[in-house]
Amino acid sequence: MRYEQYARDLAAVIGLAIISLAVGILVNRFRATPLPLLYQSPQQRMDAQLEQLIHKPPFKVSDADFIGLDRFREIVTQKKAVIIDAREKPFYTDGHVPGAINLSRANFAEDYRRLGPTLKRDRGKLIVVYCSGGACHDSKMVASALLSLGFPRVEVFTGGWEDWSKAGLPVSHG
Amino acid sequence: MKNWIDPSVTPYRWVELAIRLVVGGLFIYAGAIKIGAPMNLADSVAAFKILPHVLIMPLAMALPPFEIIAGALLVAGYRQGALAIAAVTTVFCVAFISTLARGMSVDCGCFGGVGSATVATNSLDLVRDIVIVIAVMVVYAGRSGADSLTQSGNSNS
Repeated sequence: MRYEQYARDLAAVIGLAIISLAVGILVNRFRATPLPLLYQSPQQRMDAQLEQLIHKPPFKVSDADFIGLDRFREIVTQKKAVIIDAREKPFYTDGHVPGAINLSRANFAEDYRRLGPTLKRDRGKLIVVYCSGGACHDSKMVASALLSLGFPRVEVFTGGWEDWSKAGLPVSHG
Repeated sequence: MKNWIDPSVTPYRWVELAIRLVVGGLFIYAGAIKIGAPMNLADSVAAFKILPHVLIMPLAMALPPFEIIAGALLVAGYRQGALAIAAVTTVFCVAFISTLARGMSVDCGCFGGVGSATVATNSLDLVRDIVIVIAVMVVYAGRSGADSLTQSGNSNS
């Protein structure tokens, strides 16, 4: 009977979904740092990372100033500021704005421990943060975190990597 | 008139093979690149604002293995793989229709990418997924009644 076959196939798909969930949980269990089973938004994860660095209440996004491509290009050309790429390392390695350092939102606490001394040396210097561009929020979160950490001059290049690469501007790799 | 969805018709068998290899391969690829970064996928799932928080991580963990296994089953010629892909892609279609109806645009993270999305790209995602559902249902319809596509080929030879 066709209907019996459809029912069997549907049951197989449900079984596949259950097996996949079990495999997914097992893979996560053996990760270096297993992820929580309850979802946390990027901002909640950032709060948790920031709490590792400073004991402050959760920060608010949007304290930083926003700049456009022309101003960002001028800053990069004149080497007037510390440029921060807030994307994850594989994207940074694949291509980034020349001179930018990788302080990712996803791995903020670890990256900050590594880069913090360098940043603190130039505490008064302007810092400009960017991420993928478009609707990405990583740059705003990293910028807000840096403001919380006491860096006074932090700006966000909202066009991000998308606008920079589309404009055919120089790119560094690695 | 001969039914076109008939495993005994030679052009159909070539089309079916192409669908199995292309769609199955696409799902294996999509699952493989997402399995190492479930948090990115979870963020994409959350951005759709459809599922309750408690279901986001289980879905983000289950989806990549599901895509890999379903893709492999389809490539290997099991009709259950076609049905699994049709089912999950139909869910994606509903999600895209829901976001478009709400005037939102969401980076689906379908292939692990992180970037921006627009209503236009989401519309293209929806069209792509509708094409996939139709394609795999053609495979499934041609294979209903046998345990695998391979067996179907033998039964008609």
